[in-house]
Amino acid sequence: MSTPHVLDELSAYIDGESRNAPAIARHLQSCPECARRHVELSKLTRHVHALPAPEVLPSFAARVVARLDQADAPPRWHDRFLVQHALPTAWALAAVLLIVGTAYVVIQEVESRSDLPSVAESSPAPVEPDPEVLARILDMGIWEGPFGEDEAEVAEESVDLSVELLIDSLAAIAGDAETGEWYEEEDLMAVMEALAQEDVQVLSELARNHWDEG
Amino acid sequence: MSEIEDWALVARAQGGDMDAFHVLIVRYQRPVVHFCFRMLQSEQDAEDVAQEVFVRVYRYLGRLTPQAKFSTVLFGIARNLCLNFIRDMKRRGRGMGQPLDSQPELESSVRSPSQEVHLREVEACIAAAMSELSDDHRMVLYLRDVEGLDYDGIAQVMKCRKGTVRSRLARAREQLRQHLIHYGDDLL
Repeated sequence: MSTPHVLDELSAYIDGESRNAPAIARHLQSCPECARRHVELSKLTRHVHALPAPEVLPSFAARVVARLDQADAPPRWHDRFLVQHALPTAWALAAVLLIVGTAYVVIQEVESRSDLPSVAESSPAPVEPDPEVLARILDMGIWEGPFGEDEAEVAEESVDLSVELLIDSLAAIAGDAETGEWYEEEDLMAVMEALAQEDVQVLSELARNHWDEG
Repeated sequence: MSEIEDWALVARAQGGDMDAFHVLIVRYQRPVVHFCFRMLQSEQDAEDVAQEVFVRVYRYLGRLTPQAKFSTVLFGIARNLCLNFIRDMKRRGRGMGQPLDSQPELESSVRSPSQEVHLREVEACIAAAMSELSDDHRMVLYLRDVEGLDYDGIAQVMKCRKGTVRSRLARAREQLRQHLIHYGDDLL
């Protein structure tokens, strides 16, 4: 009796990362189609491995060091403390400030409009972002820039350098919010909308914009 | 090379020992340049970005802690910089390099002329096929098949789950296989 093909599992099997390696090995002995594919994929990995690398000039390291002379001195122990203790705390604080601050600003804005009912009279308050902002949100894919494509997962890796950049950016945004020099009303509305939908992409986009502008 | 040794060098560099940092550069310059070259398909751009990788590492030395392989940290930074570079090039409307024209020269060997021709043909096809893959697929193939990172290491570099690494590799290899079959059955 023939067993189902294992074509989809051959890639991991070749890498030694398959959980069904013994069963796949047995199957390959009796299935010509899977065995042929196994040979093809094995050749393929060898071909990729053998791709020639560009030559690195002997002066490469010296040129890097020359650029370092223009860079800041490496941070010391207090920076490690900053990353391991202060920044995570600052990040949590920044997130709270961001939520509370934007909520406050938007509520104030909604209440100040005579043609709209107050929050107390109507809940939830209608949030209608500017069409351009809305289009930007809709056009926004998963952010694949310096912070990775899965913000929620990345955020769990507090020691990751990319997260540090994200933290720096959002902390800076929150800092600007405190001084009233943050984004335009449309952006605040977009943030509220995103918060209501638990959409971390918008926050990431704002962080990216801030990073780019910085 | 030992990861402990890498992190020992990092610790010395954190203390201001530039010789230690120089050793790290020399040790990893080739894989980092190669990684950038596969992503950017231009030797000049690859070298520029690779230099920036080491500058960033230096700048963040004080924040580095030995919780992962040093190479994982390096490739993570290289990945971010390459993706940023690609994004910037797309914004400016500049295309990426032409892979077939910019392939580095092969080292001479004892292969016969016919073997050499066939090998060059295969490598040109592989390089061309890889250039048609998405950035993520090209990256995952490089990290696995050239650098030999395991799935956990690749997941750390690419900021994704191990299962995503598994599926991306399978898809990338299948696309590459289809490309090569298209180029010629005898390539596989």
